[in-house]
Amino acid sequence: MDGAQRIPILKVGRVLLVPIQVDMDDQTVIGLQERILAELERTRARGVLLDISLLEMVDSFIGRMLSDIAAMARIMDARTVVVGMQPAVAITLVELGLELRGVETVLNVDEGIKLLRAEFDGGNEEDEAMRAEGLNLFGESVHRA
Amino acid sequence: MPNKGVAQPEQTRRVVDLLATRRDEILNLWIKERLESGEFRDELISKKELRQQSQQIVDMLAQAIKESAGADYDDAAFDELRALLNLISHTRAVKGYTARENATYVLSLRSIVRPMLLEEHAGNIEAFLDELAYFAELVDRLALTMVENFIRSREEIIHQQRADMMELSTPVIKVWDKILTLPIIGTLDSRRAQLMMEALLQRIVESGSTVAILDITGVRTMDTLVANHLIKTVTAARLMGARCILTGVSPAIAQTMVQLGIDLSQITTRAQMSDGIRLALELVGRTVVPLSLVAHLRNGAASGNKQPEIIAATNNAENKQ
Amino acid sequence: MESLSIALEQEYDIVAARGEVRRLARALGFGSVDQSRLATVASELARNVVKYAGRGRLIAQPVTDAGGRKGLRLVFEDSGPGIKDLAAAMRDGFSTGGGLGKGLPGSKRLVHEFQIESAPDRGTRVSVVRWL
Repeated sequence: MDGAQRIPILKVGRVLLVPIQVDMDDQTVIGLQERILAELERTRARGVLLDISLLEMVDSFIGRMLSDIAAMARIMDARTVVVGMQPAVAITLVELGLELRGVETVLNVDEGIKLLRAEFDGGNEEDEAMRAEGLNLFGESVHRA
Repeated sequence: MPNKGVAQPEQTRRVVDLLATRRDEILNLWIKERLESGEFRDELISKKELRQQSQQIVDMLAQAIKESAGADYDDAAFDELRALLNLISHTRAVKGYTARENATYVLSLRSIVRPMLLEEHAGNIEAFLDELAYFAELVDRLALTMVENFIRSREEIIHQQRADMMELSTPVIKVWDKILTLPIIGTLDSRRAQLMMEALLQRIVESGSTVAILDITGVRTMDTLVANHLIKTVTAARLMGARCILTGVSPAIAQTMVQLGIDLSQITTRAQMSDGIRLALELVGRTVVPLSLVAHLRNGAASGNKQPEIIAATNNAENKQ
Repeated sequence: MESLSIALEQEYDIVAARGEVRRLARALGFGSVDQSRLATVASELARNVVKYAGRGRLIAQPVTDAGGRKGLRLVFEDSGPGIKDLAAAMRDGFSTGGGLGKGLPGSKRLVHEFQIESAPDRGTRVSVVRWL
């Protein structure tokens, strides 16, 4: 079985939630990147939450995937947020010389949802349709005080 | 300890009899000598304690000489005595004795036993010299054990104190929901900087804090190494999804950093800790306002007005960043 | 503690190598940051072996220095094409394989000792140590 198939890509409203919970070999990394981009195109999602809180190691290969997904998603008008990098992983990445510039990061999924909730400026048909129904990016109804 | 001392096997040393038969006399003289030496400090050890220790040393020494049958100090027969000396010198290290006091304490035993040996060997100068040489050598080795172990114990204590200080010197404090501060005080070496970084990042995760204020008001000198650690901390925190604010940069340190060519352009800095706290609050969507304004807003709300002013003020502050 | 030899022949061996190195580091008493550093070094350098030489091996060996300090040595060996320009390979951003060029210089920053020997057509040997 293709290793990449084991990592789920969950669609929540117009956001893709990707919990990475296994130590990925290089093929899995490449496969995951391709699947996320395909899902972005298929679902026209506006955001990607990459949850790496269970990853105990991020080397330059995985680091590059994170940067590449963010850059490619941006071209497809979607915003990528890396969620929950562990302190040990962050220190190692900095020493390795990877700062993941251009990649947005948040502490946990809650913060990620908060960040993407704010992101709803309209501008295309789907957005406007959801807005007309009073929904945000996650498909939640928006209560205005 | 391997049994190396086989130079004079089966030799009975006269000093053993001496240590046994004239034990009390030796002890009295030894303790008297200590009390009069000017080195005795009754705040460190009681007379009773000194007497107990000294008596144990004399008894074990006699026992060991007898069992070793004249072998030297490396013989296994001296293991118990060595252990006792280690214990005594360790206790003394904790209490704050000096290395000199440790050495002279044991060495003074030699000058007490010497005239007694001479009496015992009256008329046989050769036997006296042989016995004295043996005993003097032994006492020297005892003193060496005391000093060596004393220094080792002191080093352990210093090491422990340093570790304690490091722990004390990395207080990560939560000032508000989602806001941490790390006041850095004193001299930063690489190890301490490393520990601080790890402690801060760990607390960020545990507390779910999105902003951390690093205050260096108490840092006297800054070098490239320390600056690099700060930059590393800020970058690692960003990778985790938290933002750092550096506060308390003194003019002298600002000058040094620029002269060293340290690039802090990626780091948000504020002159004072209070400015840092204000910015941190804004970053988590809060602000501090005078109570009078709160009262005014309450009244306004009561009369049907909404509160757009204060929301706009917060947003503006955030946008400036 | 026993030393460990891991064959590096296919991509999945990179995952196995970093997993084994992390386990060994943890058993030796390394903290979480050091475990991450060592696992990352293992991943970077094992990938170099698989990618450039096709096959080789990793030897992970607990070591003790004269002062009694404990550490972990990792040796990566292959008899592949070797590195033509070592100085260039040690520079940040230099890559002949389309990577980020962080593998060698980055790994060097993650350990206390770093030695590399390589000659064209004679293979490459990288030996690193991180002390506890």
